[in-house]
Amino acid sequence: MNHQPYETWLFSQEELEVDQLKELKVHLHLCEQCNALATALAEAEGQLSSEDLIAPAPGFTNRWRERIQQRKHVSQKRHTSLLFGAFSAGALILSLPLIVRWFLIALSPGDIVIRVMAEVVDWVAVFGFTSDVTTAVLDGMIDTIPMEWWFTFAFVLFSLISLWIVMMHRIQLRPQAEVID
Amino acid sequence: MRNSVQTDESIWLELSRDGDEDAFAQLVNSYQAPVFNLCYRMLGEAAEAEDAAQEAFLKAFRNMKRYDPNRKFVNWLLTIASNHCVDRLRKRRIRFISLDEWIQGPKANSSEVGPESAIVLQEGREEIQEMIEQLGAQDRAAIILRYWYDMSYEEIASSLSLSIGAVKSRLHRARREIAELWLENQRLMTIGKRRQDEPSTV
Repeated sequence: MNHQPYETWLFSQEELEVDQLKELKVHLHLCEQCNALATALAEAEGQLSSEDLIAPAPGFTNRWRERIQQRKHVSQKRHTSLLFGAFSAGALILSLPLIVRWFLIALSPGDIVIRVMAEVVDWVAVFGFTSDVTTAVLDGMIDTIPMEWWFTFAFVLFSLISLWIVMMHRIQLRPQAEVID
Repeated sequence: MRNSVQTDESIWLELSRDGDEDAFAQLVNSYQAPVFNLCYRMLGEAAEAEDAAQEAFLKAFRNMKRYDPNRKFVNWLLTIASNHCVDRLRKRRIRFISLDEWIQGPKANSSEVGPESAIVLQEGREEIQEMIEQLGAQDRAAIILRYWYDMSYEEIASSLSLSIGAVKSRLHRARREIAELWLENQRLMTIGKRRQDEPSTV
């Protein structure tokens, strides 16, 4: 017996025309197989419709709060590690030429110690020189630049430092967005 | 009353969009049952359903900025939950669920029914859940969204990122599969009953 299109009509949820409905009823009366399927579908659908919503165990919202705090903590730790790593990498890259120079020249641990001391002395000397030059320049400028300009300069510097601190803080606290599947 | 609930919800939604956890916790409180139920029906295990529902709420909170207020919030939540469950099912190995786990699992409000009716109810529920678990991940999601949440073809299509035609064909296939499984279960039950009724020859 040909079961089409009756099977399709039976399982589709589209509304059937009056004639189609009559035809289907006749077929179900004649065909035992389709009739059994129609009865099974009606019973299963009845069971599906009577099923209640299953609720989670009490305290679901509190467990959600705990989970979000836990994730935040992990995310903050990850950000801090990333920042620390970035700064360390930057410092390493900056000091790389210096380290290479020492290792190329130095032959023994004693040489390394002497080299380090010489570098420190050099840096102190450079700092002293820079300090002298800055003092001399500032001494010269202090009379020529008006007081309002100094205040403006100090204000801009203070704002930039504050902005930097705020930005760093926000980068640390920003939650990571996830893509909805 | 309904209006005041809706107003409360729109306030919570607005605050949640700005990252207010307390406001979103109110939404979690309101929608925990539909989201958990979906995950439970999809995954079949209470512990996994709890984890999936929690993750779905977490994803929703982190993506609140992307929520379109013109869409029903619960449908958006169910979309996230069903996609999360479909992913889990795809990753999951085939596992066998013991009957003990079922009996100890969360039960719906059956306080008004007697012990015999409760057993019948539980058997029917197991039968339905077992049949649902025979379906493919997306067919399962389509059936659950259709029968438990009365979603239209359009809403299911949007939730599962499918065309309306694909949803219709999936539902058609799933309904056929459910009917066949139901029929098979009935046949096996009849055979079992007949064997029990037959007098022992030993």
